[in-house]
Amino acid sequence: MSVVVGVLAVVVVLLAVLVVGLLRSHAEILRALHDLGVNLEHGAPTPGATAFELRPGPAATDRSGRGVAPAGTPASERISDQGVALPEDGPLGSAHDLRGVTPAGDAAAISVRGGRGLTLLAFLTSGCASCLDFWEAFRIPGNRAIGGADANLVVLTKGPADESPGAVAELADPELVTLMTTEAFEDYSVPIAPYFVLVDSSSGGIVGEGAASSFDQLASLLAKALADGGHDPAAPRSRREVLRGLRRATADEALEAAGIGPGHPSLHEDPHSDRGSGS
Amino acid sequence: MTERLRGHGISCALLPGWDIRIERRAESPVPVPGSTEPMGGSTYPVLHAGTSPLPARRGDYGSGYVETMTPADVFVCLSEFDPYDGIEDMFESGMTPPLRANDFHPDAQQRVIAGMCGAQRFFATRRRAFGLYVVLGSWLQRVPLVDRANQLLSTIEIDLR
Repeated sequence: MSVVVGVLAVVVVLLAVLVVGLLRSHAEILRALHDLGVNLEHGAPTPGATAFELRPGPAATDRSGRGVAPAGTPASERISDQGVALPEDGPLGSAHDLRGVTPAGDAAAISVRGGRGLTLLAFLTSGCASCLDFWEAFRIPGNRAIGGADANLVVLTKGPADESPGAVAELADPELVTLMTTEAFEDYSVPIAPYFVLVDSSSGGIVGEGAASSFDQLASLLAKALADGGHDPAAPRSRREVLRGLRRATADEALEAAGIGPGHPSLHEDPHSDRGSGS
Repeated sequence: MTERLRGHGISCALLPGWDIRIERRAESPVPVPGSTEPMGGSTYPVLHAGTSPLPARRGDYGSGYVETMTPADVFVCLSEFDPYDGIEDMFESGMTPPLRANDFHPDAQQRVIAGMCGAQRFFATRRRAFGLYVVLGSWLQRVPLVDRANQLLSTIEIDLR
């Protein structure tokens, strides 16, 4: 009898150790997710700041609980409890060309339809605290390629009637394309700044929109969204694409090393001619 | 009705696919000693239009942009001069007529870029003097590209000084 009790006690101790180990592992996973900005606790507020996403087409998917306002919600009401703008549920619309004035007061028109590549529209103000992070970040040239190497960045503020041109001029880097236009805020139904809209200029359609509370968060969300949408140049490529890319680079480098560039006469010679054979 | 962009007494239609700026560089607040002229001279408006995104910083004749043009792109630069320049023979009287493909030549660029070509005209209208400089992204494709340039140029209107 005492032997059975002893064996059971050992089994209980072993199970207790196993349970403690599982609980500890669970806690570590939760902590890691929390560090990544994911809160799985019941009743946790939906983080509107992580609402930026690419939507693949006109067929809207259910994003309830993911920081998206129901379709038909007026722009003025699409603001989360944390004061972050929420995109509207439903199919994404078409892009609108932009017209306004520069911070210096000059007339400007920017076409975002019928062009090439992607255009990231950053709707900012000179006053909001979280916008300051983006103004600062966009002073660094490398950060302006946040939408990809070939993507254009256009920063938009409200027009001179609603925003101080002097304050905007002070915040905007001279090399940053900055346009003051209240019309654009209305055209794109921007609830509150900061807000971001990604446009595919070749199709003239909006491919994603949403908010982020910091530049780092926008960069992270945008990189994931671009990769998901197949726009990320750094996205995994097929073996054939990788091999073709390597082969092209190798051939170009070899030609360049030999002093043969675009337009070199040797590239236009008939490969079947016997010129230079010496006979 | 096509919407228009207006600034500094110059306007043009907002055609799809065109980035347009009508700007005037800031003048020095410091006058030349013994004169009311600003140090560095007076500045006059300039219209820049391109068929791809214009960078925030560009030279008067498009440097900073023309280097990024593809063979499908067009750049239009309309620079105003001192109105007294308009009486010189170099400036034709009246609004300049449409450009022709034969007006373009690779050597007519401010800074020659292989494969591209440019054209320049000077004219005076509405008591104002202008220089028109157009760059096409492809010398070989100049016929369709000059049509695109003319589409925009035909919409430009100048106010009386």
